[in-house]
Amino acid sequence: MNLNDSSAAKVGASVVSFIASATAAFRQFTIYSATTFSTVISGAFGIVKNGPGTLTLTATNTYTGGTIVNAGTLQIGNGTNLTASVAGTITLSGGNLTYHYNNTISYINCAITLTAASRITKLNGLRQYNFQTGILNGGLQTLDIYVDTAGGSAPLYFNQTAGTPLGLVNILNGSVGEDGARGIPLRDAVITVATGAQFRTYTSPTINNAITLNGGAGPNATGALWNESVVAAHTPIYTGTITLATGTNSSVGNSTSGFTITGKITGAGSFTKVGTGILSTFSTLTVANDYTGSTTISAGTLRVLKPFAATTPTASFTATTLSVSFSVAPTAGMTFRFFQGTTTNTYASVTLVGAPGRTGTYNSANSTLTIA
Amino acid sequence: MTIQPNEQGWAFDESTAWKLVYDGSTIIFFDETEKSISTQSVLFVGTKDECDAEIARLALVDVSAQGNDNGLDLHADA
Repeated sequence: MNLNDSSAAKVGASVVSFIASATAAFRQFTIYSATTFSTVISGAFGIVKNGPGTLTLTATNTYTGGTIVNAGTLQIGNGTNLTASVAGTITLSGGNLTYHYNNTISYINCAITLTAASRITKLNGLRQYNFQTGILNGGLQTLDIYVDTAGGSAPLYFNQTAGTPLGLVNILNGSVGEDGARGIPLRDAVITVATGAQFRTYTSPTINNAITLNGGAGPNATGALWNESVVAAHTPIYTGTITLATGTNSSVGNSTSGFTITGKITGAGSFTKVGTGILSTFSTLTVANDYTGSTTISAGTLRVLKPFAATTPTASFTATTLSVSFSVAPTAGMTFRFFQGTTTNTYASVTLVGAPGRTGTYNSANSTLTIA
Repeated sequence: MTIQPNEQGWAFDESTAWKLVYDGSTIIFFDETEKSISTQSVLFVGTKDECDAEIARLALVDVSAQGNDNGLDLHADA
């Protein structure tokens, strides 16, 4: 389609109006009803999407001036074509962006800039999409992310270069990830994970976000926070505060990979460890986890570091056993509290390492270990 | 050798040796250490070969050493 000819570019029914300037750097579209362009748009100009309707582009477009979405939704791909794309930067200035592919995995290569609160939607729960190259400039704006779970729980990964940070990221549905081997473009933003949604990582990124979890184990029961990798050396480190929303129970999971939380876990919600791997948390003198809900280890190991007087015990909780290793031998009568709330699990078996001649009793009602 | 528990169900060892603690089929502790062990689980003390043989005989599982169950790398470049 050659947009130099405005009559040829007039599309859709009468409810669609079209504003074009043959001399301007951008071609402006006002879309009131769903409209699809299936032919290639090319030229040394950009596209501006106005109006509440959805404009779907299904070709491999080569226009070089970038794309601005002022209102409504710009959708790229319709679920059947495999190569729909636009070149250059997509600027979300009040409008939203949707992708719909059906490749085994889709690598999206474009820059995205937010100048207003926006939403990015990924359709097709069966297929994974990765934002792979380009830069994400968040402009401290709010980004809502909706990942369709129809047909599966395949994620949307944000792996672009990190530009200016986002202010707030709301994961409304499905699984959203960052692969630390590439960029960490969501860093610095406050992240809220809705009930049943998920934030996941791969490799070993440092996640500095403050994160609020609203319960559930994600769309695939692996955790509201999940380390997807099965490589043992892959250990994401979460350094921001993790808040467990009041009255909810959020799962955190990993399999054979590591998972470390050095930030504070707080809030009036509960916490469940899922997956067979080891999750390490640190409750130190300066960062004391103080969430008040219960703690459950459904699978794997929850390892907690707890400073106490002259010794620093590292406790490894599994679903049925508790093992505590002391840096300095404890004395009889010492009591260690590892969680603020109750521990759902009970422990028929307790193992003490570095506590000669001592035994211990764990009280799940108040999460304390008393040395005898 | 397996250390027998006392009347309260606790097994102790304060030697420097390879020590294996397991519960059911799950390995709780396996290392060469001079640190004491007090446990309500099963405590086996010996050489590394003896511990390895016990792990093999009982098919004990170290959950931190499971293999890759994902054949796809969905994170590589296109």
